[in-house]
Amino acid sequence: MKILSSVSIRKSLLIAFITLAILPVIFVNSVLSWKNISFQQGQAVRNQQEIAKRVSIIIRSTIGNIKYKLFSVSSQNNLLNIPQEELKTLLSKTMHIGDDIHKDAINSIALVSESGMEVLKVSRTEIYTSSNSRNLSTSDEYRMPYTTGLEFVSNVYIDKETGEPLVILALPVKEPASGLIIGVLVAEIRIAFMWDIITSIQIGKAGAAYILDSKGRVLAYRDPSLILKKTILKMPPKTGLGKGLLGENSVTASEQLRISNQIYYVVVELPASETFEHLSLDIMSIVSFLMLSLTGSISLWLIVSKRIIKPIEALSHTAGMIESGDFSLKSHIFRKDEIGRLAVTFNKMTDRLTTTINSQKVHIENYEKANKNLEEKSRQLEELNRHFHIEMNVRKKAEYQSAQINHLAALGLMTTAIVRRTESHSEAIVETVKTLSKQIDPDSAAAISVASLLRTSENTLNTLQVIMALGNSDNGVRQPAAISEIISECVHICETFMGNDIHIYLTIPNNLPDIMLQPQLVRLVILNLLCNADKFLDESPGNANFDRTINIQASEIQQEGKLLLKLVFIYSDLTPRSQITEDILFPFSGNTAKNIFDDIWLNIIKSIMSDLGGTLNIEKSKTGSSIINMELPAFKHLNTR
Amino acid sequence: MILFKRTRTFFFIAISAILLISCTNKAEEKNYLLGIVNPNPKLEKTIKSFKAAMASNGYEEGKNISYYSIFKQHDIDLKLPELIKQNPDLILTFTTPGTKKTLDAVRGTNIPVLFGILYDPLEGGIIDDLVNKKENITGVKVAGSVQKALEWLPGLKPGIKNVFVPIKFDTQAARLSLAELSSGAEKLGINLQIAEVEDKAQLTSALSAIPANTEAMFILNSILIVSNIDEIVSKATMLNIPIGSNTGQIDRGVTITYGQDSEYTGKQAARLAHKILMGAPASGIPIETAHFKLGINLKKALEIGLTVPDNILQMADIVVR
Repeated sequence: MKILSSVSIRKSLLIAFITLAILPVIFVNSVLSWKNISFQQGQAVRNQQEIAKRVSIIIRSTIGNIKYKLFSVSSQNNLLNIPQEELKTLLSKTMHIGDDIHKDAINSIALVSESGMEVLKVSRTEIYTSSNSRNLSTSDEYRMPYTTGLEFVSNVYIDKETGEPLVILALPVKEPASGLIIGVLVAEIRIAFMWDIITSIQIGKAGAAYILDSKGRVLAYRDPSLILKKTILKMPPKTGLGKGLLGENSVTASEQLRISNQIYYVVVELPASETFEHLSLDIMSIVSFLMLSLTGSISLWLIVSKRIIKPIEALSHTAGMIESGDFSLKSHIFRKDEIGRLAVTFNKMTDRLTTTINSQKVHIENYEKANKNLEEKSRQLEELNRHFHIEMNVRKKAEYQSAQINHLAALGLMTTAIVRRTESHSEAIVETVKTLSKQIDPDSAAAISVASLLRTSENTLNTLQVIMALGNSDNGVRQPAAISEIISECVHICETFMGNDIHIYLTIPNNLPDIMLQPQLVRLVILNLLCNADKFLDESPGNANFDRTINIQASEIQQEGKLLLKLVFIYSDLTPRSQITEDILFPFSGNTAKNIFDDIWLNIIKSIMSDLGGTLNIEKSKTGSSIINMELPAFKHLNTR
Repeated sequence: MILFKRTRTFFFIAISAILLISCTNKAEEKNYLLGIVNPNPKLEKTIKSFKAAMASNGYEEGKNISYYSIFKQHDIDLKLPELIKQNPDLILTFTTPGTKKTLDAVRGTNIPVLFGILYDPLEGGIIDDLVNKKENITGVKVAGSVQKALEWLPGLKPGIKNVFVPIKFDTQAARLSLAELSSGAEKLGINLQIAEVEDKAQLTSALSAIPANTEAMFILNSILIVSNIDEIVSKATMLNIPIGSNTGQIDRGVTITYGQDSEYTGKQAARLAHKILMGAPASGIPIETAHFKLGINLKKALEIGLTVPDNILQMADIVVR
């Protein structure tokens, strides 16, 4: 099936048609021919056997007649005592009288006496005289008849003088009265008549008859050269199809012919080709039928090929061309049958496909054009966007800066007012506390509280002074600043104010990016985170001294493509307050604007951070520490320090 | 329409091919060509008989066999090559010179030669063996009857001792037959009175000078003698002596003959020709001896005062009454 699937329909059909044409004819005719062969062979054998029988009858009859003539002589009374001339006449008459065959058949007759000596001989060619007399006493032709009383026939021999085949036929001469053998009549018989009989028989066109002796030697055949060559065939002659004198394939039939002591076989042979001549005709008929069948099959195949395969191939070719991209090809089948309709549909389909493809091409072209336009527009839009963003950024920045400036200005004013008011209050408080502390027993518990209060007041006053100083020094111009320097400065200030109550550890790499801002604001934030952390961080329970440790870690980070400077303030033993209470804002308590300033530090810091474009958040670690994360926009300054 | 035309053409070719195959299968009947080389006009009877026998064997002149005849001695050299060119199936020859020339001409070809009548091809140098021949030739020899023909004379006229034999050695057969006759005469105790002649005049002269004790005449295979048989017969009749012969001529006045019969030999040659045409090689066919026939011209015998014994008449194949 796999093989068939790979064979083209055209070949498959051809094979199928030829097989259908040949196989039945061959099968039927083989059976018929086989029967025919058997019949014809049998018929030929019967016919040939009949011929062989007839030939043997003719030969037997001829020899019989000759024997009869000789017997009529041998049985005469007193044959040996008949006078020579009379005997000669008798023998001559015996030799010459008769029809053509019998008369010519006897070549010579000799009367042999009891002693084996020739008494008289008459011959067709020789003159016999007493001096020619032979002694035959030791020869078979004398001994056999004489001893057995039976006639004797010698083997066939060729006369060297005449080249003729001869046999000797010898009959005993008996005394009629006593039956005693008194001599032998020896006749030389020319058996050329057998040749003539064999030659005269027409057996088919190429058939032949021949006579074999008991040893298989050919005695008579139309080609005497075979006889002269002493050709010997296998004995006994086979009946039926086999090897013969004519060749390997002959149909032979034979008939045994017994003449006295000799056995001959008359064989009639016909070449198998002739025997089965009708079979040849049958084969010719078969071949003719086969040719007709083949012609029919091939015609049918041609028609089918023409009507079906070729159009399909044309369609296939067209489809192939279309598949390879050539839509110009059309199927040129103008018929009204199924294939014609298929071709028309195919052409329509091709047309439609062509139209669709063409429209698709137009669409693609349009799409490509649109794409290009879009790209161009996008590019322009991007350009515009970029410009827009730049403008927006510039504008935003400007607006922002303006708002910041305004805000800072307002804040500054407000802060200045607060600070001024607070400063005077703080100075008053400090003075009051100082006075109070002088009045209180320095060893009393109140003294500790007063001392603490004094310290706080002084811190607050310092802070306010710092803020005032900062506010006075801030000119609102932003500039690159190194955070490490700011932190160091803030730490220094804080340590100056806080003394031993604070322990600050710095982890700050050298090559941190710079920040672009007003350094004072940052300094303010950091300073507040260091010095006033307790304003928004809850002091650790049990640590009333506010003896705190602050770790400051600085690093640069990338976030969403932006370079940020990250500052982490880790406060040990401090947690963020749940809320900013009045207690915390102790320095400002008693002020009517108390609520206004709730969370003021945190809000100020957050506001500053926001203004700086950074963030600030507070979280609590697992160990109870507070962590303040600060992130500020940074940049790598060309002259990074 | 184009398809129909193509299909029609295809069928036409196919059917033609089938018919052609069928036709070629039919056996075409062969047309044989036989050459006849016969420089001896006296053998016309044999040729006629040969043709008749051939016809009875199925070879009808003008139908399936044609003969190319060369009848004159001087034509042999001229026409024989032309005959060979036509590649005849067989050449029938007569006389030793005619056969020799033909044999020389066909040498190197496969053309078989059949001699119709040759006295003794072995002695004549045509073949070297009667049975195993080198040449592709066969035929009928007539030698072998002379002695017996001579033997028959005393049977007709007992006591014959002197036989007159006119002869011209114009053929090979003349010499050979004379030798055979001499051998037979010796066995029979007959004295041969041989008169060699060269022409008709000499023959006439010889006849007029026949010895007085001549008791019979004998005619051998000499063209001059056979051609003037009438004169010889006339002389014998005048002398009341019988004529014996091995050459036939019984109807021309020869009293007793024993030898080949022209008609029968023609038939015999035709039988051999048939064998050859059937495919047997001539070289393989033994040379046959002509069937010798005993002929008695009873009329002439009575005319010269002879009484022919009944037993001879009974044995005679031909009796002219």
